[in-house]
Amino acid sequence: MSAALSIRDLTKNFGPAEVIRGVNLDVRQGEIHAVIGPNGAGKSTFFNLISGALRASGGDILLHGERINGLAPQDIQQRGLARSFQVSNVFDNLSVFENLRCACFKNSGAGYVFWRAATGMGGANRRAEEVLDMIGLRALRDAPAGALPYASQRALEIGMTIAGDAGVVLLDEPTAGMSNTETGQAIELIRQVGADRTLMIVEHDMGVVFELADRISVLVYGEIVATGTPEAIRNDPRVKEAYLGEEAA
Amino acid sequence: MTVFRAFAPWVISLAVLLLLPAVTSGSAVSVINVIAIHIVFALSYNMLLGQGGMLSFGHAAFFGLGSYAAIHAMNAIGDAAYAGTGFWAHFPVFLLPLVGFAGGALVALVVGWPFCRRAGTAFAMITLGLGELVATGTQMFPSVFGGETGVFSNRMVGPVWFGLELAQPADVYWFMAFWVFAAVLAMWAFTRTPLGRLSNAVRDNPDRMQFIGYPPRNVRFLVFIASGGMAGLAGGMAAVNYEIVTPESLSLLASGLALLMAAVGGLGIFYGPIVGAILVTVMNSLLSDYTDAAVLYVGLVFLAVVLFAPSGLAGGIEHVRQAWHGKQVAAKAPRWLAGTLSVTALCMALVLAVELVYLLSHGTDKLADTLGMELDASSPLPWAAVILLLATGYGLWRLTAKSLEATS
Repeated sequence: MSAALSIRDLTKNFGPAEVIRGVNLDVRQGEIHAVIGPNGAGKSTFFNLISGALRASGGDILLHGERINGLAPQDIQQRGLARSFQVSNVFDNLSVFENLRCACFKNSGAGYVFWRAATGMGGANRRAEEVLDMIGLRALRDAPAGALPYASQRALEIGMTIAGDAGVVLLDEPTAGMSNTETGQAIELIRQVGADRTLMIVEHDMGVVFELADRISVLVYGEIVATGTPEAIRNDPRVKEAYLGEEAA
Repeated sequence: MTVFRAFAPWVISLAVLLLLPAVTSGSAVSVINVIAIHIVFALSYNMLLGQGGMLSFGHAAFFGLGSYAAIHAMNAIGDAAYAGTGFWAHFPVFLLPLVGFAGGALVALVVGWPFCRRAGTAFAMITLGLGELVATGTQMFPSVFGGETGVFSNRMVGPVWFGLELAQPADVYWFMAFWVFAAVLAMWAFTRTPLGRLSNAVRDNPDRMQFIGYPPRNVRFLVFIASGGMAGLAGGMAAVNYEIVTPESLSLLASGLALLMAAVGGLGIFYGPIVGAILVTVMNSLLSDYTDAAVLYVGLVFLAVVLFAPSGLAGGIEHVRQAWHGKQVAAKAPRWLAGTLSVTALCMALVLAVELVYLLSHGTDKLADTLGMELDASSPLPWAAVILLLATGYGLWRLTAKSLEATS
């Protein structure tokens, strides 16, 4: 099976500091791939490089075999790679529904339309309603996004990411700061999202990672030290030393 | 019911526009015509600031250049009508706001792209520069801008539409009524389109825009053009109203007026700038007949709104409306009454103090005369009244604040 996303010798320096030091990684079509690693390992930078928020210093990023490094974030999004954010990053004064609909406009052909009402954009409206049900925020449809409880905002964050129907989705710590119940609901949602997409998630909660992931990569100080099934990763001595060992210490 | 709700504001506005001439006197019509211009100008400004999150200090450039485009077109109509041939001979003065729109939008299209890279301080500074640049530029091309005196024209030329000769302000009123209604409707409709919604999104969170497929700059640029066009349309209305356009119309002062009207009315609510335009225009044109301190009073209103009511007058209206729908009016009315009394007392104290100071420095002021107050700044009595009013206002204010704390 071909890789949906291939990372080749990816590097990133901030001045003399090397944050990503030659990462090679293949994310298979349709899998849920988790990236774990201790704090400061470069996970967020890694996501920022793939999604175009930062420009790589070297190496290649291939989406379905096509180079996407150097492209602007909106072009990467248009090629079918979307991402969510670690801190909720929504449109505070717009309603939940409007947030979702704005996220649908571009991919449903509404572009920069100013000669028709937004309610007349059938595709975007249908898709937004669909996602609204999927993320379970039907009851909060018309509430301003900035006033939502934290967990609902996180759900909206995921909703906006998948609204554009990207085939490859990156989720940055989707359950950070959630209670146990909320985490359980989030896992359900992520599983649903991952059912017909390729998913890559950064996550701190090991319970979430081992429950969801088909494969796991361990990023330590800008390098992937291991990639494999949850079972293999659990038993990998290098991982224990680099990651779990450090946690225990 | 919901259909009625949606259309009610428009039906009511239309009724007001139709009935207004019947209930107002001749001189008031001139003020109303200016209000119409300012409503369109303030709303176009709010497309940038309130809707799109772009703080502009050079918005009058589009108003003024649209105005110049319209007045030159008006002269072209005059010349062509005299000759009896040519395109402009068949162009009615009634449609000149469209020329203003084209002028404003074209300027925004030409200069706007570099402006829209960032919102915030960078945008504010660049627009400030543009405003100054255009204002200075007008002095360099007297053939186009008419130097200090501006460009004159005559609106009673060309084809007549709807039987409007446009000789009297009362005639011009119907022209204004049509355009203010059309422009407000157009700008409201704009907020309902995908681009209008995206302009709100880029205001709230430009960083996220890229990740839903939009470079924020593209959205800002399109909004900038639309807003420049609407400002130009207001400029076209002004050209027909005054039959003269001077460089003052695109000065920094005029840009400030747009910000003032929009902020006083309320940036976050669509009709806010309309309320602000009405209030500020009425204050500007009426107060100056009565007191030399008119500018000061307008400034104080602006200050008070920014400090105490950041969501503007429309914010207050919305507050009352929500209480009405929530059936809380009875519960809140005493507090509102006390608040209103408090503000009234404070305002009276302030007005009295200002007038007294003016009396001291100028010897006389018309407002005091008009109100029938025989003020004597040298006697302690009026000063005591100032202090009494201040104390009353402040006391009432504390009282309402306390009751607010108690209930919440």
